[in-house]
Amino acid sequence: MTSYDTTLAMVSRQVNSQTGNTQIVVRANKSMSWRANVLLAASLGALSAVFGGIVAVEGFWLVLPFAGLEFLVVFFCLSKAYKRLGYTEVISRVGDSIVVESGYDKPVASSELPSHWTRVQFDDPPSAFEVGRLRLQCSGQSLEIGQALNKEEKRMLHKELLHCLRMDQPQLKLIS
Amino acid sequence: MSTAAAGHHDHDDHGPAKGWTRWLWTTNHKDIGTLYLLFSLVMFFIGGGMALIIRAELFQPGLQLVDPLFFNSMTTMHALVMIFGVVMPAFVGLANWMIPMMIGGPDMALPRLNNWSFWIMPFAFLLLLSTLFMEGGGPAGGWTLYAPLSLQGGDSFAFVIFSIHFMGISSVMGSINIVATIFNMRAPGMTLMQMPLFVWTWLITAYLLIAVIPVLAGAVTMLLTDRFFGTSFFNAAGGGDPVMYQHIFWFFGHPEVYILILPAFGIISSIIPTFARKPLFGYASMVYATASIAFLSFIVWAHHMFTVGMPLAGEMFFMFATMMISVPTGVKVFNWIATMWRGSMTFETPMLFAIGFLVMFTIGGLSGLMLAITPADIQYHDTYFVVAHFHYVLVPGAIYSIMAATYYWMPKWTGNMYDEKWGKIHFWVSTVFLNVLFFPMHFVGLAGMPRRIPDYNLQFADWNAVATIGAFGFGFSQLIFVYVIYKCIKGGEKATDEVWEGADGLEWTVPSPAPYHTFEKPPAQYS
Repeated sequence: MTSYDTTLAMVSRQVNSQTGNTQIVVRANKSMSWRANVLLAASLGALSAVFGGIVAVEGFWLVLPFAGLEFLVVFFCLSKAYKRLGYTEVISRVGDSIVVESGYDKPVASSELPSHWTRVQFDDPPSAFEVGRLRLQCSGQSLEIGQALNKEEKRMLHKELLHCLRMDQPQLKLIS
Repeated sequence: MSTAAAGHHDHDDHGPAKGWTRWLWTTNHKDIGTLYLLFSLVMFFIGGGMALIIRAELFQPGLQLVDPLFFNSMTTMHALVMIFGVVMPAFVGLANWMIPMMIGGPDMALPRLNNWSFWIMPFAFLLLLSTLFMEGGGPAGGWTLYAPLSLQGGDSFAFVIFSIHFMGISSVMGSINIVATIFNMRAPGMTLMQMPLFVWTWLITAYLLIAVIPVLAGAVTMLLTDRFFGTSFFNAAGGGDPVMYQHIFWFFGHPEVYILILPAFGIISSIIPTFARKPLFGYASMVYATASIAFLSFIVWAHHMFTVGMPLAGEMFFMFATMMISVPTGVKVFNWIATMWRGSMTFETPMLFAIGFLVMFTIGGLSGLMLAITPADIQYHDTYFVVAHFHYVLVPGAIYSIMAATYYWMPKWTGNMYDEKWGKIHFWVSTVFLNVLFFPMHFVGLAGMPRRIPDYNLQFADWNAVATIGAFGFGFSQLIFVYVIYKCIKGGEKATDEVWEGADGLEWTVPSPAPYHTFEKPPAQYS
């Protein structure tokens, strides 16, 4: 059988070099660069353009609009898929707070929760058909994190968050 | 608390929805894979029924059961249904089910697009099949829709064109999704040259599909405007060029042939190592051979039209380019045999179908090589020899690989083992009748029997009767396939996670049945 390392790259704990704070970076898997995606779309576009161009010169021009339209769809879909996979959440301890920032290229949403009053909840379902939800809860409000992760990765993130919060709350236990 | 991050998942995290709406709205790759496979199975029986009408008419010389126009509609529709409604959807279904699991991705890259890709298909085929009930009947000019013949049909021709457009849109959307998934969602550490062969062959197939579908769309739209809007793209009387339609069509059509067989190569490359209990021989050469076949598929289209008349240099080029395809194909056949060589072989149903593929696809390949020889092709062209050739490639090639894949992965899908005894009966009965059906077509073809005719000379009567017996035997033996699938879905011996002793790959690390959403054990790093 193929061997698999269970180190989870989707959830990583890092130390911010500027602030010295511990932060957990959660991101979806992305296995190819944007450049490679562009090259793929460009090669398809070039192939269609060459053949469409040749037959258009012969007077059979109706291939070209379809080729052009398809190229736009290919480019749009690849960029959408790539962008979606770039979704990142950064969970940091800043003083007495837990800060959750999220976005694609840069943080576009930010939440700050008092670390002492924050609880982490993971409804780890027994069914293999469900991946469960992981939430940070504070004062009746709930923030779901790690939606791009699978169940095992969520378990890993759950442990990391518990570890992070235990610094303030040694009595902390899993709520669910 | 300040602004919460926006979630953006396309599917529900809490398992499948209840009731029939689950299937209508689903964006889950396994649900959509199942829909594709079931659709393909239904179309297999519709297309098969058309084949039986054709063979029943040909059982004896003379006009027996149907009028010639309807007979021609049946040959046209049978091809369109089998190519676009059976083989392609089945491979897309297998891709949907297996590619995310094989590369360690949670789903397809664009799940909503995936849902649309599937649900366009039933409407496309409803449109196509409805033409049979329209004034003037369905399309009857052959699946290639050659102008000017195809332009002489009834007004239902517009419906045929629109249905082909819908099929094309569905294929392109499915292919874009597959490419985006394979490129961007592989497990961390899984390089391109570590992907399973099935994933590789589908990546190349999707590339081919995206490259050639606009050509088909353009060609059939020009037919539409010639028929209904007074243009003369292919109308010689108006200064058009009917031969150019053939060039444009076959620039799509020949890569399409490889679209129908490359995923089969991937399936066979998964199954043979499992039951030979050896790694695949020459993995890298298999990848390069697949890519070579894909490249060559763009420069051999005119071997379908040697008889239209073209310069000698053109005939020579297309003849030699076509013959060159036998080199990478030979590499593949050699590698499969080398994988089996001194392997610890067992012959479960998927392996039987894989070996059946290997032997009979090679027969189809060799007759293809005969057809590539220009002077010989001028004799064989439009005879039953051609029909025998492409049926040997597509039935024991594409269809057998789909059946092999179904038996191979069904325990992973359902969590139950299929009935091995009935699986083997299905293989042997199908194989016997398949050869009774298609092998005699070589004889009548070489003797000069033309294709696409409802009546024929008395000298071809005996072998046609034999072929018809084979057709009905093969057709009814597929009911065994349905029975085995039904029985497996309903229950049976529980499958283990690995299912097969020699199986290798990420899909075998998830439980059986495979979880609805993702891996029980994450394939975080591939080594």
